[in-house]
Amino acid sequence: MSRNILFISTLVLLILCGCSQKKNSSQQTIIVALSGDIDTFNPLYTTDATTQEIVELLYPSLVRPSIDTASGALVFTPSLARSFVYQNGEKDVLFHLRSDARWSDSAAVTARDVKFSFLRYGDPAVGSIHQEQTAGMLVAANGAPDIDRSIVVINDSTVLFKFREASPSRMFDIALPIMPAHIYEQIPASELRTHPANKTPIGAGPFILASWKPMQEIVLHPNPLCVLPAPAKIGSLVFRIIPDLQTQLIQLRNKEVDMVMDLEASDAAALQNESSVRILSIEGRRYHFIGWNNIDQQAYARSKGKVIAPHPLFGSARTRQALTLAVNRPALLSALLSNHGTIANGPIAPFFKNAFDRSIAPYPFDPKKATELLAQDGWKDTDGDGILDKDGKKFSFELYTPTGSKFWAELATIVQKQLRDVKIEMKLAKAERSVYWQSLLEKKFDAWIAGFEVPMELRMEGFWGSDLKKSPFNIFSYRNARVDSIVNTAYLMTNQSDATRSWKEFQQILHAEQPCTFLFWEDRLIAVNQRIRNTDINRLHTLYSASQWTVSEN
Amino acid sequence: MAQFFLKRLLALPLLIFGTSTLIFFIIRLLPGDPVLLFLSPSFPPALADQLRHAFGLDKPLIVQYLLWIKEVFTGSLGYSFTFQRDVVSVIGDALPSTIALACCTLVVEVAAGIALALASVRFHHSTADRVLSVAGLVTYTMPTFWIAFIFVQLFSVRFTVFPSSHMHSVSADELSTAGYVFDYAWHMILPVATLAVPGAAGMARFLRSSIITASQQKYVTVARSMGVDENRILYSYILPNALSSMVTLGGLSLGSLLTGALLTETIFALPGMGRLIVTAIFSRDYPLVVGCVIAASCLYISVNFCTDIIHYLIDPRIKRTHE
Repeated sequence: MSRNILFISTLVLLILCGCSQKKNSSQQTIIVALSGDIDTFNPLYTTDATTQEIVELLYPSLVRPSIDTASGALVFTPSLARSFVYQNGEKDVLFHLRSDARWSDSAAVTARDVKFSFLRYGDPAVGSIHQEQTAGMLVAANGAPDIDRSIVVINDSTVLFKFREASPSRMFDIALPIMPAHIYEQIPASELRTHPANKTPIGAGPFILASWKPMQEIVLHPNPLCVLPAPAKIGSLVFRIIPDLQTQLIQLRNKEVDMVMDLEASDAAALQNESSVRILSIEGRRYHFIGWNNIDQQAYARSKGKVIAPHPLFGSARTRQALTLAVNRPALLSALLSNHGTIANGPIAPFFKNAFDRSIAPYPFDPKKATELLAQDGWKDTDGDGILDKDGKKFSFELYTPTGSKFWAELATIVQKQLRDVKIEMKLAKAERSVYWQSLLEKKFDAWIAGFEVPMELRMEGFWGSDLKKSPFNIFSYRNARVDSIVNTAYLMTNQSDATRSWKEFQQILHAEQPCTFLFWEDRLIAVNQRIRNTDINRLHTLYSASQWTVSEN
Repeated sequence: MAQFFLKRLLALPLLIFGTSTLIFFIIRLLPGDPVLLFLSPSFPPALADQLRHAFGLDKPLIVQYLLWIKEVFTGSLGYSFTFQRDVVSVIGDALPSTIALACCTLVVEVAAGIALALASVRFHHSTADRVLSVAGLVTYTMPTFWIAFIFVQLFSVRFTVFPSSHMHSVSADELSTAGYVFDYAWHMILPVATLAVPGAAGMARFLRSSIITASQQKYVTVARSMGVDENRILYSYILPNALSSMVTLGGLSLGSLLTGALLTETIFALPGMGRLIVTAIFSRDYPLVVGCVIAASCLYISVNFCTDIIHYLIDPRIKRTHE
């Protein structure tokens, strides 16, 4: 009897303890569910987008990007910089810094911190993934960026950036987080990646790091010294690491978390009836495609990249057009994404209003036309086995998806059926994720399903440049001299109408040649508890306005 | 006897060293490139080479191995590419949670296993025994993720009495020590129950058959013929003999729990060795994979070693064999 009483009292105590805790944590705290932990708090080494967003809440930057909803263009507003002016034919930018900005350890933020940060970003010994953003600066005799000469500290609150040429996207390079020189300058480049200072960031942004329990949670508190523009309004912002999406959704329903990012369409539909939750649908930056290898990968591999011949199945643009016509993209969009997205015509998202070509009509689902085009390329079922053939070769291939990707696997199964209707045999294959991406970069697959998230800066040379060694992410091995010319120049054009004309031509070429079958742009679905206010979430950032978030009393 | 344990003790480092060396080479021979994690179209192609240099992957395999040996002797297990920290610190963050989860689970599954086995034996050949046997078999064969799902739906969604994730509440650091301990226990109930339920069912079935076997031994017949009380026969004669085999089972269970309970850790968002090992393998984080293997080997071998000692201490037959 006494044992039972002890057991029951312990259970009641545990439950009470839990309940009381839940109330305390729900008041001025906002809890965001993350599926993975942060890589590092050192902005030199941030790799994934969420890590970068969290780091941007801690560190200052000269300018901050936002989206002009009218034009869809990115605009940069001063942040650590009080103001900036272009000089020398827009090649140089002079920044006047705020004199009241302080690091969270009370040291002043000065122009010296700005120069120090960019010296670190550009140093190959540091190995920062952002070093390409210093590539436009003045160069030394050996051709490497000369950052020391490019960034001139005029005084504590004035700094001049010098670039080789004017570019409309220059601010992308300048908007990197600024690091405190007094913390990091004593650390050798080779030790920066692992230094303990990375766990205790000193920033000047609206938040400071209160605690970090690896693989569990990150707790941010308002930075009382922040003037960029002000300390965060909530008591604390907590990121809880919850790897399983279903657990995230349960906690959202139970009000244990306030925000779940990157929902699946089916989950969003299931949450529609939850009165405490609102679903935000944001135009996505990610498109899905069926990749066709444009070149004969076996000849390419045998010759170690010297022989580039058309792929025996996918080498012809007409055949690739036929493949796109044979795939029912609207049905796929409806079945897999519940229409949370738009059909893709090319790699430029519709929200790039100045560059997107609205005149291009998507290829319709037209199996009959697809069969005609295939016949024009010599693909006919001559032996009556139900599979097209040409010169004794059957139109049969393997399409790869990475293991663990349920979405792409389902997509592949539907596409397999649709291609079978035009007498194309597509076998489904899987590769372990790391092997899959390595094989893509080495052009080993004939066909695959994948997706790319496009950067906000319109830079396409990494994806579509014909030099397959310099553009390893041209996984389609697509080669076109005119496209090369456009992707290497359009992003530098300061005249907007010239740039628009070039980007439209680029899309028309890709639309005609169909190096891959562009499927659709996927919208981002984010679930937010109704009590959170001022959530200005856009395609650029989820946490952009986190410092302005407030909690409704009701 | 001391010689026996000394030999086992001396073999431990060799065993761990051999296992980790094997894994060091196997993981590097697998296809896949850890540097791919860091690459994107906007990065210069030279960055891949810089990263390979920074991670020491540009050196010949044998040089990498020698450097790794040197690091091991200096107390470091290298640098994790994925977590961008020392491997020792990454494992150090995951290990306490795994040990706590494993130990709590073992305690619960042993206690519940013994209780269920005794109940089953008490009502041997009765309906209650058959119900317990069938229920035990069903529970034992249930996948862990399914049990977790049922518990979460029942206790976190329907009745909202237990949290569905993490080891503590938000702001638990602000609680008193007692409050923190209660909060921790409150969070551990569902994951421990998820792991302990099939474990307890398995142990109950195993112990039940051990008890029945032991109860058919001659010494039990002799005791009964001498009129010894049935409770005394069960608790003093049969159970100690039957429990000896439970030590082996418990050791095996603890060993596998300590090397990670991936599904439970993922569903309940617990930081642990299971999640760490899978992340390390999928991201080709070579130093972390080898570090995790070393940690897991150490734990597994240590548990086996302790099991042997317990066996020696509680089973006079083993003591006599060695003497």
